[in-house]
Amino acid sequence: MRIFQGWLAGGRVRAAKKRLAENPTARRYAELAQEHALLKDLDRALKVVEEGITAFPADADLRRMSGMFRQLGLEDRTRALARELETAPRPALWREMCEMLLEAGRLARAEDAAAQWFQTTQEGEAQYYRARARAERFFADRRRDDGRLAYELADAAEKLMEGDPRALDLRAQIAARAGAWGEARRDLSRLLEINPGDQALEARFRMAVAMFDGPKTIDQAFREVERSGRLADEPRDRDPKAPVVDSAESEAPVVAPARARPLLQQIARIPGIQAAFYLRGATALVQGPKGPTAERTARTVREILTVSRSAARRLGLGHAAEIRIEGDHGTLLMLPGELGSGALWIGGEVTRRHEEAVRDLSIAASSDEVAA
Amino acid sequence: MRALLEPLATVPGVQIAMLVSEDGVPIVVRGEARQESGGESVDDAEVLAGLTASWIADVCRAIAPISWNTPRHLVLRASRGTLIAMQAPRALLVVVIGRGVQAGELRLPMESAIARMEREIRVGNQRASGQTPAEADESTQPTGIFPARQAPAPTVAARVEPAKNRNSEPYGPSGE
Repeated sequence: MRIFQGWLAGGRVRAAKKRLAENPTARRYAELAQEHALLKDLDRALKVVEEGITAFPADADLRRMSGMFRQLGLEDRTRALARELETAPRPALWREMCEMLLEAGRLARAEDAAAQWFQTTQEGEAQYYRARARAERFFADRRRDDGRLAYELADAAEKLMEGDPRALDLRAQIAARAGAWGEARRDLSRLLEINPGDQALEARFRMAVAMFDGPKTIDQAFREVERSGRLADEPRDRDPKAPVVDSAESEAPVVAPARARPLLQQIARIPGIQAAFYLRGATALVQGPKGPTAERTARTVREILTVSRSAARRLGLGHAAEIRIEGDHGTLLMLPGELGSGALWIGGEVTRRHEEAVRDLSIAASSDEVAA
Repeated sequence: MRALLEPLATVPGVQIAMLVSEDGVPIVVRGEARQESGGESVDDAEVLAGLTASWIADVCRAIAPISWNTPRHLVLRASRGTLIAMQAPRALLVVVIGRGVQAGELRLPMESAIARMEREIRVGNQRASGQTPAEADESTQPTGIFPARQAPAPTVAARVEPAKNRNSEPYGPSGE
């Protein structure tokens, strides 16, 4: 029966390959990958999807399939490792497990695995992986408790791992990203003693020296990160409490990428769009509503972005990537970026064109190109 | 209520599905309470419910100056998962999904869950007001493909079936 099924599936794969060769489209790539996946050949399915992504980089379905196949492959390897760890646990397997989970962003599981490893062996490396997992959570969620625990774990790991600079490096990284430049400088100077002449380390040390602006305890730094929601090495808004709202038709000079205005005007012409917003630092460009309405709406969009970013962090979901609010008013679609954000108020149904437009707006808001 | 959320919780990729009161108290929780990467902040469904209600309250406060009504459907997509909230009768339906799952895939199951909930509430209200379960069920069922056309109430005359030998047909001055 299994042979018969394999023969049938092989025929479907051959047919899918033939169709793809005749007319290579994103859908045909997806179909072939699906056939390979049905045969449980995930490696080949992933290869086909990656080939498809190279040919059709904008195709969302292929990207989604790539993520799914990677996830499935990871699950398989994790299960195999867990089985092996039950029978013959050894540091190499624990290390691979932790690395793989960290790479996949499965931070809670990575920390659990490292904790289990530490419980059985009391090794410093296990403590280091616990610290890394917790530090990643701190970088994503900016919670003070995560930062404090990551720092303590890195400290403990550093004491246990004699001659291994990884824990010290991690501690320096946590301190620098939190803004405790004094602590970071101390750790980096010790790292430079271990690795003299390392240019990357020297650059980090120079930065820590340049950024030092008075004594600040690590706890104060963590509290500041939690309050502001920003790490010390991230760009800061000029004055987020005083937004300058500028209707795109006005002539007032604003600091914004040069292509923001024409892009806003172009986007506002797409059917269904009631308003388009470009938000960066204290600047807000609005296309659609005018006067006080534009100002009020831009303030609203900015406030929703702020509360949503904070909510995503507090909920443990990481960085907010998209916010969608639907109601009687239509849909408010927002894409927050590192430097700025784009938003659209859409009257009817949200189409793919709208999604692409808001993505363009968000990219423009996050670009470094600035108008003269 | 648990049965209402069961189909939602079994959708692939759904980590947790819960019904939350407007002030952030979980009413029903289905699925894994522990999120993969969220740590202790969402281990507890109560925390998740409270934070979600607080986020929605913040959003409502933000949109008040531009006179928009309370949003019906909210999606917060983030790097490690997506939170979807939908207004249900006097509550919020909250679902957390993992990465790789599209929020749009959950729209129909969530709307169905809310529709079932509304129907349950209607039936409950009608039972409370003294209608028999059968009557209550009838009134909540769809009226057919032409809802505007009301079926006439069956009368005694309508129930008289004509006999095959026409003996029972009316006759006389008006029936001739």
